[in-house]
Amino acid sequence: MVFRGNHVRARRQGHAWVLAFPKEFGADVEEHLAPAAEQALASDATLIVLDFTSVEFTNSAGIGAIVDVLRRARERGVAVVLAGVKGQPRIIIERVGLFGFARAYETVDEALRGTSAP
Amino acid sequence: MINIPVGGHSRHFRSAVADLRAICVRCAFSRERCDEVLTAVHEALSNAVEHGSRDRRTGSIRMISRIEQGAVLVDIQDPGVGPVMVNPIPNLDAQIHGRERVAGWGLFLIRCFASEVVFTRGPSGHTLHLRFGASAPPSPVEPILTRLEDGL
Repeated sequence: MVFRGNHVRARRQGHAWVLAFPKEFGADVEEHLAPAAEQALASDATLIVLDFTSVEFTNSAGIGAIVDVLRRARERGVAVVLAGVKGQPRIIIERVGLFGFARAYETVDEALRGTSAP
Repeated sequence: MINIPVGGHSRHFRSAVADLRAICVRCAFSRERCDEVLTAVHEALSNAVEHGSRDRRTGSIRMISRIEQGAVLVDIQDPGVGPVMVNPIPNLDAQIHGRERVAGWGLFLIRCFASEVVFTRGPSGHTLHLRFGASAPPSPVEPILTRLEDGL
């Protein structure tokens, strides 16, 4: 099952939804993340993986979008993890303190293996 | 000097960001520090574009950058009225738990990465002065709000 917004690519993988972001994750992406996250949260998935593998730049709009996903996932008891965060996005996410609320993995595969279904 | 139209899109920032990266390299800033500077300035330009539009002003945003004693100085002028007060540092835990609105991260990042943050309001608009040393401050700096009666 694949949901493809203009900027966020979503795919179901076992117990998880993987939401992959493009090279620039800013306000343009923010508006497409909400419906993709909503679809994931409406399913029986127990995990959302936010895939930063392709992301080279993010900003406060990207941070706000992630915080919003974390808030909505927490309300529904769904775990959220980050994968492939590096470079400028890592600097920003670290400074904001998001790693304290969402575990980070080097790759999506590691995230899926590290959070196997109950 | 870079000019960006009020209400412009972030793609208008690209030449400004490219120029600024070159200045950071001339200052021998580390790659990580360059990313921090560019992030803060990108946020400042986004705010200027947004606030200029919000205040229904026309005109352009001007960015001037220079090197002074090993630091990068950036002035961003916009025709808006600028902030009337500085919002508190956002509380991530409160935002994730729904006790606080998800907002405030732009100025937070500016405060994290700039060594000095000064807002000056004048009759024809407002200017944000940023200073970037070779490393980020250990904690977010306190912005200074000033008023310039005789214009920019």
